[in-house]
Amino acid sequence: MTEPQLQETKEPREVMPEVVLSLFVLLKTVMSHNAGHPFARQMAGKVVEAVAQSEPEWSLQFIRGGVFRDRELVQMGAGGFRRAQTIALALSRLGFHEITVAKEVDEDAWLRLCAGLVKGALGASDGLDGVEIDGLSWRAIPDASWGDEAEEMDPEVYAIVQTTLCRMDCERIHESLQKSAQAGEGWYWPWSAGLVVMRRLERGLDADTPACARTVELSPGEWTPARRALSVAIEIMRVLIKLKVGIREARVAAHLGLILSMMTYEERAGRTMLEASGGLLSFLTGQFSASERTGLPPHHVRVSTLAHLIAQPDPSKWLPVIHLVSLVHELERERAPEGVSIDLTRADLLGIATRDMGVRFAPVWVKALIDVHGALPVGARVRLGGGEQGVILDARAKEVDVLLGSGVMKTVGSQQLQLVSALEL
Amino acid sequence: MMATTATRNQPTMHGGVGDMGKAIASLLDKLVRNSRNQRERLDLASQRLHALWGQTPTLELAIGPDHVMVDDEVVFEAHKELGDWILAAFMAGVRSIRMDARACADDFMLLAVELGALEINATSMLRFRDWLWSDGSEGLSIKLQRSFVEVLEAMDIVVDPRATGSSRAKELIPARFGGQFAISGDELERVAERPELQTSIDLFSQGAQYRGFEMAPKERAMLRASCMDAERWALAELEASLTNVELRQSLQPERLARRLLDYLVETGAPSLIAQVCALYRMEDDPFATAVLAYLERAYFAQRLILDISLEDEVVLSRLGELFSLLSVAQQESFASAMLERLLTRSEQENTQQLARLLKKLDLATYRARVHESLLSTNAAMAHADLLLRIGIAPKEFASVLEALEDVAVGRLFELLPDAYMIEGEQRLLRLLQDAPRVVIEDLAAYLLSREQVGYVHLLAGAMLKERDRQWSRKTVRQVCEAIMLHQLEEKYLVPPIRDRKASLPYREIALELLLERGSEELIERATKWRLSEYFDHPDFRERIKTGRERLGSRPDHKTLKDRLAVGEEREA
Repeated sequence: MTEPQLQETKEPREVMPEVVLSLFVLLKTVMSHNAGHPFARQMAGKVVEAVAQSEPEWSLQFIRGGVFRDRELVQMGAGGFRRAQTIALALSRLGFHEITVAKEVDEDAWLRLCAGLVKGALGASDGLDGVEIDGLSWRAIPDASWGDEAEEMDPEVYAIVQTTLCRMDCERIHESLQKSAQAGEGWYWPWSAGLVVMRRLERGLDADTPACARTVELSPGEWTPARRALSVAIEIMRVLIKLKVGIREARVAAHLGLILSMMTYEERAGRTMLEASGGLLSFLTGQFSASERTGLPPHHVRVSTLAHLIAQPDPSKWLPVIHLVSLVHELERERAPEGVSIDLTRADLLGIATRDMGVRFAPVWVKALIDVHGALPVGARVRLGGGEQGVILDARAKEVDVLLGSGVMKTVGSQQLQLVSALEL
Repeated sequence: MMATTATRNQPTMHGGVGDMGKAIASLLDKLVRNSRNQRERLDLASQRLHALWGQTPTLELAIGPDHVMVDDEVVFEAHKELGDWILAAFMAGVRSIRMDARACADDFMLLAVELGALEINATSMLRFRDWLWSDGSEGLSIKLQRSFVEVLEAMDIVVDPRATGSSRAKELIPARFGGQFAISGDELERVAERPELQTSIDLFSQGAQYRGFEMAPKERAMLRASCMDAERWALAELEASLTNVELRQSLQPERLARRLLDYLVETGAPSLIAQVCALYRMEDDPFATAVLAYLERAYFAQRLILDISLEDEVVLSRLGELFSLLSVAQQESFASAMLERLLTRSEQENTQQLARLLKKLDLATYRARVHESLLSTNAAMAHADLLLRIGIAPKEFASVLEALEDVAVGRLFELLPDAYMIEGEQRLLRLLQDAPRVVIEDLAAYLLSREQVGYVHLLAGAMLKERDRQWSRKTVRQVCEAIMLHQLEEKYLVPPIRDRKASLPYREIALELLLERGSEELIERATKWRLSEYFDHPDFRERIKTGRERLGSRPDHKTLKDRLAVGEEREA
C-alpha cells in the first residue's frame, strides 16, 4: 500500500462522523425534495459509501446529545453535534434512540429509513410503524431522552440496576486487586473505579434505598469479598443518611468502608480493620499524584484522613464515623465465617452486634444500625406460624413479604414470624 | 446587519443581568482557554471573574451544547475556538453553574483548569465527574444531569422498565432460595463447635421487637453532630496532611488552606487557631509556609476577628497567641478588624469581649499596629474606650491622647476620670491652644461644667496664652465669669485688658466684668492711662475712661477733643 493510501485509510470508528453527516444530508434532502427525487438517491449513495467504510455490524445510539457507535462516543465538534441532534430529534419523536446496521444495505433501504425519519422530524410519531428493512433496525432506549422525560424510570428498577452494576464493578476491582497482589505489583486503590461505584451507589440509594439493600442482600450466590464490601458501603450510607449526616461525610465514610473491605476481605472472613490499619494509608495514597491538575480533591483528602486516624494507636482520636466503619466492616467480615460454607444473614449479623454491644462495638452505633433495619431485616430467615420457612423480602409496618422455600411469595403479619438463624436451619 | 458571534459575545458593563451574564461567560471562557495555553496568569483573571460574579451572586449560567444562557437569554455562543469547552461540559452533564457565597477566586481557577482539560471522550468526562463528585468544585454549585455514559451502562440490564412497571423489580431478583435452606449435618456440627458463631439472634429479635435498641432523639442528635463536627474534621485533615508525606506531596497547600479557613471561620474553634499557630512555628517548612501564605492572602486574621464568636476565654487566649506570631501586616489587619468589629457592633457584650481579647495582646504592639495617629474620630474614640475598659494606666493613656486626633481627644476629655485628665493635662492644654474652635468651645463648656478651679485655671491660661484667637463671645464670657467666680481676675482678666494683641471680645468682657465686680485696685491697674489707648477702638477707649472716672480721676480733655473729632467725622 502506498503512503497516501495509508493516510487515507481510516479506522471504521473514525468514519462515523461521515456516516452521521451523510445521513443528515440525506434526511435534509428527503425533507426538502422527497425520497423519489434523483438528488435524494444520489445522497443515499453517499450514505452507502460511508457505511461501507464503517464495516457493519454496528449500532448508532443517540443519547442525551451524544452519538455513540456501540456505546463508544463518536468524536464530533459542535457542527457535528448539531447535525446529530437533527437526526436524534426525528428518531426520538418516533420513539426510538438507536439504529442498528446489521449489514451494508442499498440506497433504497436508506431512503425508506429517511422517509420515516422525515415524518418524525415533521412531528409525526408513526413514521416507522410497520416499516421493516432488511439489515436495518431501530429500538428505544430507556432513559435516553432529554430533560424530565429522562427521569421517568421506575426508581426501584433504577436502584436495582445501579446496585447490580455496582456489584459488577466491585467484583472487577477486587479481581484486579487480587491479580496485582499476586503479581507483586503496586497494590493501590483504583480511585477512579471506586468513585464510579460510589457515585452509582449514591444514585441508587437516592432512587430507592431499600431496593438497593435488598438487591445486595437477596442476590443469589456467594457472599464474595466484593459483595460484602458493597454491602459495607451501603450499610454505612444507610445509617448516616438516616441520621441525616451531611452527604460529604457519608460519602467519605462509605467509601472508606468499601476500600477497607476490598483490601481486607478474603473468600471467607479476612483481616480486621486494625490488622490492616498500618498499610491502609499507603494503599490509598499510592495512586495519588503530585501532578494532579488541581490538587487532591477534598473527598480524597478526607478519606485519607480517616485512614490516617485508623492507624493511630489511640482510638479516642478517631472521628466518630470510624466507629461505624469498624462496626459494619467487622460484621460483614463475619458474614462468611472461616472454616464453614454457611453465610450469615443480616439478622445474624445484627445478633452478633447486639451480643457484643458494649464489648467490641459502641452501643450507640449498634442502635443506629438496628434503627435502619428494624426487627425484621430483609434477607432474614423466618419461620411462619405453620412451620414453613422463608426469607424476608420486604418488611413494612405491619405486613411482611416472605419468599417461601417453595419459591412462592407470601404476605403475612409481622406477629406471625419468628426469626431463625442461618446456622440453625 | 447581523451581529457576528464575536460582537454578540461582547459584554457591555452598564446593562442588566444579561450584560453581566455576557461579561461573566466571556471571562469564564477566557479563563478556560488560558488554562490550556498558560498565556496569562490565571489568578488575576480568576479574581476578576470572582469580583464580577460577586456583584450578582444569584446569577446562574445555564450551559447548552453550544451556548451559555442567563435567564433564558443567550449570553455567549461558541464559535471556533471561542467557547470550545461548552460542548464537552454539556456532554459531561453540566447544566448550570452558580457561585456559592463562600466562593473565592481560586475556585474559578480550578474549575477553569478542569474545564480546559475536559475532552469529548468518555474517560475525560468520567474523570471530570469524579472531580465534581469529590467536592473538587468547592465554592461553586454545578448542576449535573445524569450523563449519557451512565445511561448507556444501564442499557443491557433493563430494556424498557416503563413498559414493565414496578413489579419488574421483584422479577429482577432471582429467587433461588430453595436449595440454600438445606445445611448438612456436618456443617452444623462444625458451627456448634465454634462459640463465636453463636449469634444470639433471639437477643436481637426480642430486643428489637420490644424496642430495647431504640435510639433516643438526643442520641441521634449527638451522633449527627459528632459526625459533622467541622472542627474535628478540619483538625484531623490538617494533622494528616502535615504528618503524612505521601498525602502532602499530592496536596495543594492552597486547597488545604482554603478548607482550613472555611472551618476556622465556620467554627472559630480554639484548637484550629492553635493549629495555625503551630504552622507559624514551623518556620522552615515550605508546605506550612505555603498554607500560611494563602491564609494571609485571604485576610484570615481579619475574617476571624470579624466573624467568630469571642465569648470563649480559650478562643481569646489562642487569638492572643496568634497575634504574637503574625507578621506586622497581619497584625495590622487583626487590629483593624478589632476596631471594625467595635464600630459595627455597638452592643455592650461585644465591646466587653473585645476588651477581654485586648487583654490577651501585647498592648504596645497592638497600639503600634492600630496607627493611633491615623484613626478617624469614631475609630479613635472606640479605640480609646477599649483601652480604658482594660484599665490602661493614666500615664500610658496620656500618650494615646497625644497620638489621637483633636476632635476625638476633645470628646474623650469630656469622658475621662480626673486621674486621666491630670495625666493628659499637656494634651488638654495643647488642644485648647491648637484645636479647631468648635472643639475648644465644647471642651470649654464641659470643663466649666465641672466647676473646679483647676480647670478654670487651664481654660483661662489657654485663653490668655492664645489671647489673639477668636473664641466665641459666649465662651469668652463663660470663661471670664468663671475667672471672676474663682477670683482669678488679677491673673487672667487684668493683663489682657490693656494688651492690644488680645482679642477684642476678651478685652471687652474682661473689662466689663472687672468694672462690675472687680476691686478698685484692679480697676485702677487695668484702666490706668497709657499712651497706647489712642490706638484702641474708640468705644473700648471710652470704657477704660469710664473706669478711671469711677475711681475719681478728672475728665480727660484730650478725650473730649477726640469726641468732638469723632462727632465731626460722623457729620461729614
